[in-house]
Order: sequence, then C-alpha cells, then structure tokens
Amino acid sequence: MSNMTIQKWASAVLALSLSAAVITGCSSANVKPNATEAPQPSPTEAAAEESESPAEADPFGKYDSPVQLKMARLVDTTFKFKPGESIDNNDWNKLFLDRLGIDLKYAWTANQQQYPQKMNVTIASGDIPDLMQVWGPQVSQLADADSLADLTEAYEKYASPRLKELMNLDGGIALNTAKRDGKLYAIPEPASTVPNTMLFIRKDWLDKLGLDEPKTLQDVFAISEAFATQDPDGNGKKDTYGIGLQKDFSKNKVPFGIEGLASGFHAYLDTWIQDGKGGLTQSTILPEMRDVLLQLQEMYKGGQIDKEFGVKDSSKVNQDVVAGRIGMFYGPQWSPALPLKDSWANDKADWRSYGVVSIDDKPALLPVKPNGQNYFVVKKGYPNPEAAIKLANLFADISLNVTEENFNKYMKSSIDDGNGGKSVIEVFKYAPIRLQNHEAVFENMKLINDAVKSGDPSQLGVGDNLASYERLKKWETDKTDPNAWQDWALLGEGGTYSVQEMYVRENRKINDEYWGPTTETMSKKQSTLDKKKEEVFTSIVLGAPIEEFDKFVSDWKALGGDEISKEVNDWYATIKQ
Amino acid sequence: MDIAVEKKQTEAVGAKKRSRWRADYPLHLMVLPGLLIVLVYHYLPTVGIVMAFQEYSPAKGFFRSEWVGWEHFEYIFKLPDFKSALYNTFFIATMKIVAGQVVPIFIAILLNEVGKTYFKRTVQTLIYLPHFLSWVILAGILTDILSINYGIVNQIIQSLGLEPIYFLGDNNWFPYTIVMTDLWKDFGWGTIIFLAAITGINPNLYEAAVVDGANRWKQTLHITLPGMMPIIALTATLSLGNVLNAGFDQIFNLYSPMVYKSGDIIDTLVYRIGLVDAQFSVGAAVGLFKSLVSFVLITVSYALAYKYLRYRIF
Amino acid sequence: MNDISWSRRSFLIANYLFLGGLAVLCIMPMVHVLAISFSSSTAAEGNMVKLLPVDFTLNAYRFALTKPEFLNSFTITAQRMLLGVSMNLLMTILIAYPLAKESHAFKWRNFYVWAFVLTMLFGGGLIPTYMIVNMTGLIDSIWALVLPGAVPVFNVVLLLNFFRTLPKELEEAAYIDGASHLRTLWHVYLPLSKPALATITLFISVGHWNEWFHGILYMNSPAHYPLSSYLQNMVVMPNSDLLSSTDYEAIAKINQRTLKAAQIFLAALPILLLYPFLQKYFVKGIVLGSVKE
Repeated sequence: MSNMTIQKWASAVLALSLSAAVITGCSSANVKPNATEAPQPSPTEAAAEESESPAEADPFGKYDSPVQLKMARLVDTTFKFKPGESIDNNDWNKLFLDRLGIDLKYAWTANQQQYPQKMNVTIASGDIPDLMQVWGPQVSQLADADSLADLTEAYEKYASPRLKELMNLDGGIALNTAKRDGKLYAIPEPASTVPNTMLFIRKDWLDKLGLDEPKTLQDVFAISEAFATQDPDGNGKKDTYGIGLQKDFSKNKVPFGIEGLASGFHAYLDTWIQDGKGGLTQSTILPEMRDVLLQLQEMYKGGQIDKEFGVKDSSKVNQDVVAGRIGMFYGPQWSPALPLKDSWANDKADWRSYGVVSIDDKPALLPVKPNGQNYFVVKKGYPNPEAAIKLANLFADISLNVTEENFNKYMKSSIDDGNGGKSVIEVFKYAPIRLQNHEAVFENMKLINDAVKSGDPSQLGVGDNLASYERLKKWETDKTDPNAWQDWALLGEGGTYSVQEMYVRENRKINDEYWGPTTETMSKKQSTLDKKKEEVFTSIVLGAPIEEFDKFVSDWKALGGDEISKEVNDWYATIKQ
Repeated sequence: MDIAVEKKQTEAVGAKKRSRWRADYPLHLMVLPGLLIVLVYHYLPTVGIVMAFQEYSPAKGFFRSEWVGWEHFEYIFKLPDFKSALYNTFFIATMKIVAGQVVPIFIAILLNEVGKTYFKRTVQTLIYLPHFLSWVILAGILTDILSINYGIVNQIIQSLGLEPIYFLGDNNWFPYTIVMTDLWKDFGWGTIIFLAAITGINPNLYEAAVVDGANRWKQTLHITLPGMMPIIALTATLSLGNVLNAGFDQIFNLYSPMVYKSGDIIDTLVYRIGLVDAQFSVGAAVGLFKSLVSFVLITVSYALAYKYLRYRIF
Repeated sequence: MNDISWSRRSFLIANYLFLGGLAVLCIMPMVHVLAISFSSSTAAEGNMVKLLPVDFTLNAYRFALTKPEFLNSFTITAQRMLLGVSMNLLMTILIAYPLAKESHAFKWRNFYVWAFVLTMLFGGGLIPTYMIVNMTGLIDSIWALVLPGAVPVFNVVLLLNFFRTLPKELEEAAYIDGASHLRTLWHVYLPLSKPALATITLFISVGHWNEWFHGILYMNSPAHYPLSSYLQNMVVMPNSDLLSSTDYEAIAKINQRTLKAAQIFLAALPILLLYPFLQKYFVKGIVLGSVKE
C-alpha cells in the first residue's frame, strides 16, 4: 500500500468500478457450454441443496424478515439510471430484497474525488453506516479503533465457492491485505494483475517513412528519430515529435509516462523487486534506471521530445496527439478511447498498439501490484455481518450465469435515449461488491474475433460478447464512425486487448513484491523522496549531467530510503515464512 | 468618607450602569443571533486544534487519539523542503498582496475618471469575468497562451526581437508568472470594493475643492484617496492575513517538477505529504502555524493604527 | 467641453484605451470557453478552438440542458440563494450596526468585533466542523449550506466601515427625534448605504453561488447537490492515472471538453448578470441630498 494515496486510491477505486464494466460484461456471458469454470448452482438451486443439510450456512439463504443494511459507497457520474430509478431504487436492490431478504439502502454516496474526505468525516463523527467501501489504510485505522466486525467466520461459512475462487485468482494477496493479526476485517475486490501499459504508434507514419513495426527497443529509438526528423505528416515543417511525454512522466502509472520504456531496460518505477539475495530492493534507484534517463536525455537533445513537455499534463499532451504532433507514446490499454478516437476522427490517424519491447534478449516485463482496489467493511455490532458476503455471492453468481433476461435486467440495459437512439445503462454498477475474473475477457475476445471472421455469432451466447461482435461487425461495414473505430482498436484483432492477452500468455509481468501497509518512514519521508525523484529525473532529461542520478541515489538513501528499505525487508521476512 | 455619600455614589454608579444597560441592550440583542451561530459553528469546532498535538485518527476521535506534543511541528519544520517552501510562499504571497491592493485601487480611480456611464459599467463587468473561471480551466488556457512553441505572448516577445520566455518552466520567471496571472484573474473582482468606497465619498468635498480651484489630479490626491482610506486600510490589514497563502489551487494547476524550486509552497508540500498517507495532524499543525502568523500580523497592524492614528481599522 | 485642457484630454484618451484594452484581455478566457462550448468535440480535443467556434454545433447545450441533474441542481441553488443571501444580509446588517458605534458609545463593541474577526483567522478544520453540523442535525438539508456560514465576517467588517463614514449628525438627529436603534438603522443607515449594500449583496451572492465544497460534504447524495457542487463533480478532471481501468466508455467521458464548457458557461451566466444589475446602486450623491434636508 506504499503508494496508496488519497488521489491514487480514488482513481484506483474508479478504476475498479470501471474495470467491472467491460470485464464483468465480457465474462458474464455464458461463453460456451463447456466453459472452463464449472457453472455454479443458481441461488435457488443452491438454496434447495443447502436446505437438505440445515446445519450448513447457506451462501444464498434468505432472511425470514428483511434485514436493514445501510451502506456508504462511491457513486460517480458514470452511473446512469433509468427514468424513475436511483441508487436506492433499482433492480439490484429489489433482487437483494427478494432473493436474500436484504434491504440495502445508502446512507450516503460521493464521487471518487470527494469520497475519502466524506468518509473521514463520517468515521470521525462516530456515526458510521453498517457497510462501507473504504481504502486500505482505513481498514487498519478502523480495525485499530475496534470499529469493525470480524468477518473471518462469516467469510469461511458464507462465501460461495465461486466467490472464493474469484478471491484467490491473485494468489490470495488481496485477501491477505484485508487481514489484521490473522483476522479478516474487510472483503477486498482484488485488482487486476494484467499489465496495462503498451506502445501506441501511428502506422500511417510508419508506412510513409517505410519503417517496420518495432521488434526491439532499438527499433523504437529509430522510429522516434524518424518521426521527429523525417516529416512524417508531410507538411514540410519540423513540427512532429518522436515520443509523447508529460510533466509527471516519472510517476508510475500515468499516460505518456516512461513505465513502458523503462521496462525495456528492465527498470521499474516505484517498484520493490527481488534483489536475488532473498530480499527486496527499490528498482527506481538501480543502474538500469540511469540508462533509461540517459536515453531520454539523448532523445530530448535530438528534438524527439517536445521541449515543453515539462509543463504539459496528460490532457495537454492528448491535445498534441489529436492535433497530429505526436506519432508514438507509451500509454494505457484504454488509449483508443482517450485520446486516439479523436485523433482518428481528426485526420484518420491509424494508431496501432504493440507490446512493450526490450533492449536485449531478455523480454520486457511490466510491473503490477497485486492488491485490493476496494475494501468493504462492516460496522462492529452489526447483527448480520454475513449479509455483506451474500451480496458479493449473488453478484458473482449472476454475472457468471447470464441469461438474456438477466443480462438486460442486471448487467446492461439498453433504453431509448429520447433522441431516437439507444443508450446503454450499466446496471451492474448498482451492485456494491463485485468480484470478477480479470482474465476471462481475453478468451472471450478470441471467440468474438473468430465469430467476426466466420460471420457466425451463434457460439457467443448473449450479453456483451454479442454486443462486441455487433460493434466489430459495424466497423467492417462502416469505416467512418469514430466509435466503431474505437471498438475495433480495443477489441479487434491486434487491438489493445490482444496485446494484453499476449502479456498474459507470455507472463510478461513482474510483481511489486511489497503489498504491506504504509510504513512509518514512508509516511514521513516518501513525499520528500518522490519530489527529489521527480526533480532530478526531469532535470536529467532536460540535459543535466547524468552524474546527478548517482547523487540522487545517495541522497535517496540518506533521506530515508535506507530506512524504508529496511522496513520493507523486515516485512518481507515475515511474509516469506 | 461619609457612609451616606458612599452609598449615594454606589447608587449613582448602579443607576448609570442600569441606564447604560437600558440604552445598550437593543445593541446586544442585535449581535446575539450572529454571536450564537458563530459560537456553535466556529468556536465549538475550534476544539479541533488539539489535532495538531495528537496522532489523530478519525476512528479514535479527539479524546482517544494519542498525544504527541510538538512532534508534528518539528517534523514539518525539519523537512528538507520546508525552508524553501516557506520562502516561496512568503515571496509569492507578499507580491500578490501588494499587487492585489495597488492595482485594483489604481484601476478603481481610473474607472472613476471615466465620464461615460455605459463604458464604465461595461469595463467593470468585463474585467471581473476571469474571477468566475476556475484554475483548472485557466491553467489549460495559460499553458497555451504562454507556450514557447506557439503561445501568443511569446510570439509578441519574439516579434520585438527578444528571446522567448519559458514562463511556466523557468525558475526565474515562475513566481512572477504566478503573481501576474493571479492578478489577471482577480484584479477586476478586487476593484469592486474600491469603487464602492469611492461612491461613498461625500460629493460636497469635491464641490468645495472645485471652488478652491483644485484640478482633477489634486482632487484625486486630496479627496478621493483619503476618502478611500478606511477601506484601503481595512483590506490591506486583512490581506496581511494571507501572507502564508500563496494560492494552492493556482500553483497546483500550474507547477511542475521543473519549477519545484521556485514554486513549491507550504500548501503543495503538505498536499504531497497527504498523498502518501492522509495525515490529519500534520495538516492541522500547519494550519495552526499559519493562523498564528496571520493573527500576529493583523493584530499588530491593528494596534499600530490605533496607537499612532487613533484609528480603529475595524 | 472646450475648457478641457490638452493634458486632460490626452489623459482621458489614454485612459479609455487602457481600460478598453484591459477589458479585452479579461474577456478572452470566457470567450474561449464559450467558443469551445459551440465547437465539435474533435476540434476541442485537438486544441484547434481559439476565440471562435470550430464546426459550430449546439450539441453540448442540448445535452447539458436536457440533463435532469443539471436542472435539478439549479433549483437547489435557487433555494440556497434565497435562504443564504437573505440570512447573510440580515446578519451582516444587524451586527454591523452596533459594531459601527464608537467604543465609548457601545462599550462592548471591541469585544464583539474581535470575537467575530478571530473566526476568520482560526478554525477547527473540516472534521470538527462536520461533527457539529452533524450533531445539530443539518446533514443532508439545505440549512447545512446556510446556517454554519450565516455570519459573513468580512462583510460585517466592511459594512461597519461604511456605516462609520456616514455623517454623525444624521444619527444624532435621529436620536434626538427619539428614534429607536432599529428605526435609525432602517430609516437612516440603510437608505444611505445602498452602494455598500449592493457590494455586499454581490459578495454574498457570488460566495453562495460558487461555493461547492460544503454542498458535497454535507449532502448525502448527488441528487441534493447545488449547481456548483454538481459542476465540480462533472468538470474537475478525474485523475488520468487510471492506468488499470478498462471501462473505455467511462474513460472517453472524462474529457468532453465541449460539454464542460457549456456547463461552465450556463452556470456562470446568471451570476454574471447580477453585477450589471447591481451597478445602478453605485451612484454618488445620496448623502449630499440627505444632509441638505
């Protein structure tokens, strides 16, 4: 949780609430009869089975008289409702009441920016709701203050096999982060551990300059130089850059960052990796990072990087991309939605996505952090703590066994948008605790693309797969709609999902090995270290002598880095046992 | 002393007090509702200042959080970046305070010289427009306008044969860029109060001056400015309270690692600390420090004004 | 006009040019926002819009004005303005009057003034204030946006300074007439303080109109947000380091520059119109008339 900050937490929460969107949808459809995962019994069947052995706890058991459950959770502006519905009144809430006898109401909701503050004041006021969505450090805070119900037993007894399976997809790390002294204090939603950063290049520029797609990092450098110097847009002016970079490039997990480039040098920003001697070491200060910076410095000197990158945030660089000044960058999987769709709409820029490439024969790995992205805690003294588990059970169950009716009612509804068109309402977001299989999407992508090729969607079942199929079909027939282009760039053959699928297939990830709480020195010194890093890295790219990096490393150690390393390694020693 | 006289005196004092009370109680009553609101919603929460001396955790509250004394103050003051942040804050804020006083007064006087009412009103309305745009929006616009590649400001500078200026990326320029853009956003808003002050000046004074043969410049110097003085003194004194507020929103949206050296202020420093780990107590300690500095400055200027000018600023 | 000197005339010309130039400088950002709101999304994303719309369209406005949340929050803001501004004005006037007295006339005034001024300097911060608002039962009600901030101290101090500039003879005359304090305030002070009151009304109104944080903090559901909070929810860019997200529909919505621009403009319009309206009270000569009476 070292970098779990309010802001990052907020975006992580958003990320998860978002990632649910596609992946749930995709994994939701019953892909084929002999799906890898055995279909779970539906709630009613389960209930019937369970009733034969009444001593057992029933993961889907209905309360005789409805139990009240008041919750605080994050609701952002991407939540849309059908006319007359609201977060308190919708099909999921009705389902919880009908099937489980749980009367779910919301004490309050807020968006990702305000949620942490609102949560803090709520906790401080002592008047906390029964069920709350919180972030990692708050689980500790609340557990320390003895405000949380111990969910160990409820989870053991009531979690459905399907829920437990989803919980353990990451090796149980997320679940571990929710434990204090062996007791489970929260239900985590495990984060995706599929690497997300990839390389985006304008294929039309490559073709114009007679360049091949990159196989190695050396190819990337050559492309960058050619894009900057050989006038790929053909306007006779030197107004293009080799690679897009933003002012916060030295932070981890940002668009137009250097995570992808660094991975080619086997360097990993803000990541604790194994040091080969049984301990952990911070990759940011290793010599590989020096090479990354030296390379960037050279590219900057050669005019391949915007000389103003140091003051541009990602939304400004987005504008440069759309305006046709940038032909290559490292960005997240969703880049086709932002900003590439507009770039395509503007001048038919043919953006393609590629896996990150390496400087040598060792494959480039991307750092991932197994973690819980959301945590759900129950107030101490709440009489039915297992109710929270049941909510999670039901979502896991419904999202796996989707019928056409269920899909429309509980996953995604299509309604008239009032202008003669259809708009999709993401109903699944109303369910508060949603665990999913982050990798199921890739198998579905393959099926969809096969179906597009053969023209036969009969194997796709219902739901998102069919919807995606239809969108890809639309691109085949109509190559003018930016939205269709976006779908193709994401879902189509060679799209960003297929790059991720390759990452999974080739296991192109390296784990951030530290998933413990923020240590004492981190909370005191990390911000100073981060600032130093950002300053020094930026100045080196702008031309400061590379020896600044060596000085940074010794400063980093002296200013608290050594203490943090020690704390991290002490923690690691306890985990390895 | 004669007992009777003494008693009489006491009675007289008592009567005086009573009559004073009779005369004053409506005044007390007028203040009372506001005082109650302030007591409940401002003074009661002030108890929260104890956070600065605790390892505060919302879950434990004010009564169960651990006491740590001055630890948070020491922590902040000993941070390697604190000194430069304090200096930057003070430097930027002081320039903002001076510019934010002088320019609106100047503009208000110039507007007062305008005879055509419609022109005056139009200008008044237009110059206060930028006040209504947030820094998120303005930052995007400013990055464009001040760009060294294609920004209009640098195009003008270059057409004069000068070197382009990296307003947002050069440590020598950044603080001034901050002050100038802040002025641009808010001088029009600041002018309103001084225009109101000019409106309140007794026109008799001008008539008398004209009779004495004073020209417009003399009138401005001897009537308009002195007439504005109470309001100028008030706003100047109160703005002293901002000597450690350099404007978080603005700087947060405009700064970058390139200008941390000249642009990192106390508020951005505390913000970044909070990013690692929400530290309520550190925030409270810094808040208390800033409040105390403001308090001292405002009190001293109030006292000085009273001592030397026999004037109560408020 | 003939007796205007040459220097005076050149000053006036320079003055008009200077002020006109300033006005142009200040109007540009708003024109830019306006131009974006009328442009196509692609043009806005590509940063191609300067001061004139590119690919003119009304889509953003059509979308903004049909959003029920947008209109709903307008209603809430209207309520807040009605309650909040009248409450603030009442408090400001009631408190400024006694505090405008000299300390020999009202012995307690110094104590009261400082009691109020100190609240500008010291505060308990977010959490304790929330706790009190919660304890007094205001959470999720419009009063949470009105009552805690009912005493705008800066405006009180401002008004008391304006009151003090009124000629003393007026009050004495009223006092001799046997007028009560309330009568003096109502019939003597207020009519003479129209410019000051207009200024304060403007400050208070803009304050309530723009304040968004309390709306989000004290309201339990976005359905109860005032306009400013709703916009804050919409306009502020969610952090773009959503690297692990896969909901591209939501991601694409992060930008929507044109919609945001339209909403910013629509939300600012009513309050922008208030100032020209209030300007008619910025008129000189009232005091003159009263004293001559």
